[in-house]
Amino acid sequence: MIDLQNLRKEYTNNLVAVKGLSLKLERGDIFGFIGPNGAGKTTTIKMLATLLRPTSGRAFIDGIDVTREPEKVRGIIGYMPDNFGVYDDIKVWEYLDFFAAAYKIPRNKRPQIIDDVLELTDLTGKKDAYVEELSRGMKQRLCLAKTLVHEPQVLLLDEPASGLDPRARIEIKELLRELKAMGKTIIISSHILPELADFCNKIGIIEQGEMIVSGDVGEIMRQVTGGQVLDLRVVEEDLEACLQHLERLGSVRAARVVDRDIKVEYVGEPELTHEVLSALVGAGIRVKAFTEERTNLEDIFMKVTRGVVS
Amino acid sequence: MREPNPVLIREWRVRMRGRRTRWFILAWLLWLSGAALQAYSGWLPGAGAGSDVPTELTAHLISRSLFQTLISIQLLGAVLLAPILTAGSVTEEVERGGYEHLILSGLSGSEYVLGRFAGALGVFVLLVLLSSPVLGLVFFFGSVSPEQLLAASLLIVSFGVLALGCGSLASSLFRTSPAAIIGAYAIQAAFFLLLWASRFPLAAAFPADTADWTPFHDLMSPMEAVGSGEVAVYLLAAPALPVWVICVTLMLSAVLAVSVARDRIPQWDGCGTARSQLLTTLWGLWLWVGFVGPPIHTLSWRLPLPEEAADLVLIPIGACLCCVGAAVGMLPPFTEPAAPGSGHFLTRAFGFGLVGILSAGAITSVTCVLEHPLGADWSQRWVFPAVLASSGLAILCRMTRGVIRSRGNPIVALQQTAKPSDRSARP
Repeated sequence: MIDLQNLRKEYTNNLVAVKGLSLKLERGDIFGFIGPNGAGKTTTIKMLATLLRPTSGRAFIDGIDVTREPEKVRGIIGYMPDNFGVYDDIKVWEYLDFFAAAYKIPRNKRPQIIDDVLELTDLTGKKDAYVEELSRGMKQRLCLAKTLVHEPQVLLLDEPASGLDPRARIEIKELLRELKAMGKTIIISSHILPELADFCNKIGIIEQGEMIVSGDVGEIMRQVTGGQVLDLRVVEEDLEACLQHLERLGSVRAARVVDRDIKVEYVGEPELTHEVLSALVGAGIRVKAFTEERTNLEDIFMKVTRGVVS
Repeated sequence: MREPNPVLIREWRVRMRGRRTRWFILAWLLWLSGAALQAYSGWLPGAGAGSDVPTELTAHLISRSLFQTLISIQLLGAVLLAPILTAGSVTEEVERGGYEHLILSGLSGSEYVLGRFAGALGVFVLLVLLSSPVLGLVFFFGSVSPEQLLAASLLIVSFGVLALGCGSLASSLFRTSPAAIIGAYAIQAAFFLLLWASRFPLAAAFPADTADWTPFHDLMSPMEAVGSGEVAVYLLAAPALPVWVICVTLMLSAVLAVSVARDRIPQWDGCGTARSQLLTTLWGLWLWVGFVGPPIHTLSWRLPLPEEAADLVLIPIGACLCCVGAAVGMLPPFTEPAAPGSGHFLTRAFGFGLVGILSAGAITSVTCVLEHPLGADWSQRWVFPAVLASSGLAILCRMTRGVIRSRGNPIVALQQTAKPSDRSARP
């Protein structure tokens, strides 16, 4: 669906914002674009959005070259920058109607589309409200609704949750989950890693214009950390026995106690983590809790970018 | 059925029902009414001005005074307030962060600029219409006909249209709204300066038998007229022809300004600077033919100079104006980061010079043919061959792929083509 081939962007002051970036995404992928401020995330997204011309390299969206046929690409993408420009002195439905008209959606179809995107973004109750009356989080959702008004296949979301309070962030995350369920291909950039951890199936870490690592989240996790981390809680009297038993398991590289819990570095097959539990239970260890630690993008990010970030 | 321009719909929704608009209209009407009251109070018995003159003449003078005051205020309003309405057309979007949304929405540059222009024009015309009851006070005192009032309103709207056009152009040239507002005033001032320097349209249009309306012979330009508040006097004396001449002049200039503004939004329409360069050159031609040429010819008639000598002055002036127009049109659009190497001064200067001079050559040649019919020996020997040569060269240049078909700045496009490292990025 998205194919970047050695994409490069230079500015006049010899600043190279993006250095030979290559990436392939399939339909329905949710790609988390991670990097510190100034790493080149926005430049890359803008090149994909046909807002910046690459200095060299090619970029295709659904097989269409973004530099050769930008008008066609614009019809299938929805772009939302972090600085969402909404008009304050206009009603919510009028704002959406304006963009629907700009996208040349026939007048008779617009009311239904507006209702649909408002429902999706949970703004139906604010349909007749003025934009200036909305909270920042609502404005952000309105901007996302505007981005969806022409039913794009690909969404390019640049820092969609920046500047939002925790509640608004959760709302945006819920909305993104719904979009994921709708089968949209999404590229979402953020420097706030927990935002992306929940729903991205692929991530790319970019720093100083270079893609340091990209691919499936689990795969990268294994590459970087050498495996998965399992959280284990056992009865206190069984703690020592548990540690000894874990050390004997071939699929466990290390185990350490952190706040009465045991962190297990598991290096076996990802689908066979239950065997660890079976082995412990079989050995008579009284296990109170056994969970896979959620993918910690912050750890990945810190390990991958260590020494590069100045 | 073709759908209405979405930008225009949005503009009218925003502008026509906004609280700011209502307060602005109220303030405007209060200002006009206050000015009318002040003008009238000067003629009240005991106020001094008209207390000792016969009644009929007093009514006549009151009417004239009111008319002058109200027209002058409205003209000043057009000149000072109208540019603000459009100076933020593009810059406001950039500042608000909505520019990229609009580019991606498939909206064309024409739709956007014309929509914003028409929206602002609607507000301006509304102001003029709402002012008409106040202006209608003059009818109570006679001496001013409805036709004269209509002519005055048309003149005010024309000034407003030009001011709005200057605002649109400035908005596409500058990066911020405050800079664009100042730029709009500067462009407008430059235009009025040309009008003033030319002393052409009003002077040529004055009928000789209206001299009894006094300061007529001093009213040589709209700028002076606006400044002195004597436009109304002029309108009362010679209502038909000059108003028509001025309105056409102002509106055509506004149309060209808006056209240039539209074409300076490069990523909308996929249009490029080649067209805007042509349009600005046309603007230069219009200013030259309309306002600079005639007075120089007039000068040559008054001085013992051969007509060819006037052309020797005319041609370089015309070429300069056209070059300025071409250079403005060639400025790289501010929204697109310049390509590597495009900032080289000499290359850019060469580009400006080449296209400007060639265009100017073509235009001056055509004008020379118009000035000198083929029967004249001088034009047959020199001008006509020059017309053919320079026009051919200019057309050839404009037909060149790099200039006429490029999207964005032609010079940048040529450089990008020439730069091996960038070749892969171009289609």
